[in-house]
Amino acid sequence: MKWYDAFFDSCRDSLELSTKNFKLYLPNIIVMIITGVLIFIISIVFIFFGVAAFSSGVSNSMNMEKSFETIIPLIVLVVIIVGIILPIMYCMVEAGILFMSKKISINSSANFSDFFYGLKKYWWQIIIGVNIVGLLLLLLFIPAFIVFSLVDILTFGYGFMSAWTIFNVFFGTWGAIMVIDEISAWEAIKKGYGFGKQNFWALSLIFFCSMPIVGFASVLLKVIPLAGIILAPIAVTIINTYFRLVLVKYYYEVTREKEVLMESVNNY
Amino acid sequence: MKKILHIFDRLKEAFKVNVQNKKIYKQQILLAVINTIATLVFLGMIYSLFLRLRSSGYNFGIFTFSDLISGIVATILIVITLGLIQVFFEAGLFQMYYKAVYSGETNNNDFFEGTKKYFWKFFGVNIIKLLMWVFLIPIYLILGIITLGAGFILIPIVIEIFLAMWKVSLVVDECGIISAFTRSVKFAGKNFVPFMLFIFLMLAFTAPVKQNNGINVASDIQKVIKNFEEKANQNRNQIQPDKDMINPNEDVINPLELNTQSQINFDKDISDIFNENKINEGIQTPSLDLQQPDYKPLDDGVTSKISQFFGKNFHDNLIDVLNKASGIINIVLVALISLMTVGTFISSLVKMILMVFFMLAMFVIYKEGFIEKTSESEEVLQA
Repeated sequence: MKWYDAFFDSCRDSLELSTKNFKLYLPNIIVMIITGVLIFIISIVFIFFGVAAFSSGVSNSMNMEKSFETIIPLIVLVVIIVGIILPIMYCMVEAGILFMSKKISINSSANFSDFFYGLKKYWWQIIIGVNIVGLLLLLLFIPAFIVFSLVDILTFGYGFMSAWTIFNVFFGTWGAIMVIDEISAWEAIKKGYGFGKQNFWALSLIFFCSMPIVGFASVLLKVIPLAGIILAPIAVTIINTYFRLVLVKYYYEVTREKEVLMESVNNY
Repeated sequence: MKKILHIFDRLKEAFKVNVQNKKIYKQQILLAVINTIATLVFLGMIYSLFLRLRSSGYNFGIFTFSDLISGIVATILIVITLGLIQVFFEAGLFQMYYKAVYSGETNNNDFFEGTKKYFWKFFGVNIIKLLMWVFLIPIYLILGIITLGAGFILIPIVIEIFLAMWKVSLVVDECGIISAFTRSVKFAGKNFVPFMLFIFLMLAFTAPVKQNNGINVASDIQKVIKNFEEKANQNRNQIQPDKDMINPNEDVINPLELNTQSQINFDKDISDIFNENKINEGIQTPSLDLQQPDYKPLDDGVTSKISQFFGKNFHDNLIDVLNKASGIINIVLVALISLMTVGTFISSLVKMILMVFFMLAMFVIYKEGFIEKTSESEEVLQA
């Protein structure tokens, strides 16, 4: 089987399976809504405090100092929510969804108990993995930033897309590998690098395809008056989750094909 | 749902055909080179305008009415020539796509056969599309406004869905323009949902090149104008007289309400400052031995128009900045031209790869539709 056959088959099967298991999309949509509501509340509170501090500051400088004193704990709270609680929540959902994707790829169906099982089993590993990959991104991407900026200008917007694709080919598959092979995040990152080298073109297609599709769907839905504000992020979440399933399915199919091949060789 | 799933099967087949027929890229690369040359010519024209402007000390009045007309004519000629070249290549390439999908292989002869066979037909289709848009613009605008802007993006996409197979049908069915049009509309109507998704996919990959380019250039121009305006406003505020310093017995001239007399005085003051400080001596203009053409200033000079529009200070600041930074502007312009030329070539190549793939997919979809491939359907298709 050619690499592009595996890629297109994974896309096709993932679409079929995900429509049969729509539950897969729900956790991400819920988290997205929670994030939206939180950001909305935070901005409203800040606007309120900002206006109050400004109005009292105009009348009395002492009042302004007092207002700042009240706003500092609020800033700390926001930093805790945005910097700690939300990322942990995203990691937990990611762990659950990856396990659900694994179940769907193998058994063609999954339910919420799988989500919570995956969440419990992998959330800590996901946090470790995200931090390692984040550090790698900082180390690799910042020095290459100038080069890719130039490439971005030369290719009218394809530079950063290509850079992000290449980075993900090598360091974006570890989640799928971790849940399918049931190994630790660090092991999965190491294995993911090798898998990226072996399946460069297929993985490039998976990661590259997701970006313009997400962008186009977002632009297209945002133009719908009022409903677009809610529909666009939901569509983006669904497409991203779908591509995660494609990745898991692709990894599962490729490794299974290898196993079958090895088995037949051994039997022979 | 099954029909939608078959999109991936068709894409897979198109990819296979694409991998097996890399000859198609030859003509596409030639087209990318032509596009790059056209961009270079256009940018060169703009650069020559800048050189003329610089040699005149940034006097916008040197541009005559005949300059404007010749510029417009040259641009129109470039656009028409490019359009005809595009149609020529499109006709040849469509024949190559057809041969690649239906016979499994293609060669250069197919390209020339296609250009001979379909050039005028494709030209006709493009003219009809253009005329159709001209007539549809009022309806498009009304619908766009009624739908609160959604129509402005969605209507062209819906039209694209129904007309996407027009040229494909012309080549595959070898029929007339009108017949191909009805076939295209019928095909889209029969397979609306999967075909719409396919068109969305195609647009998602082929549209960003144009969008990014346009947005970046527009925002850069806006930034430059905003900077100049801010500087002009700052200087205007600086010369505003302090109310406490004004003697109530004297006649006060508010610089913000400059009348004709004060404008003349202002001009005189500025020229005095320039002469006293010998600012102009530092600026070297290229010594061109060309005879100055006998020109008529364009509508009393563009300079006065700019002054009226942005205020006197804006114009003076602009000229001052342009004179001082002449060398840097030149280097930046040359760098930008080279960058944009290379950029056009690379983006044309990226777009080429995507376009070839999606065009092949269109032919595969037109050939097989969105139905499951069985031995019976194969027989029907072959028949």
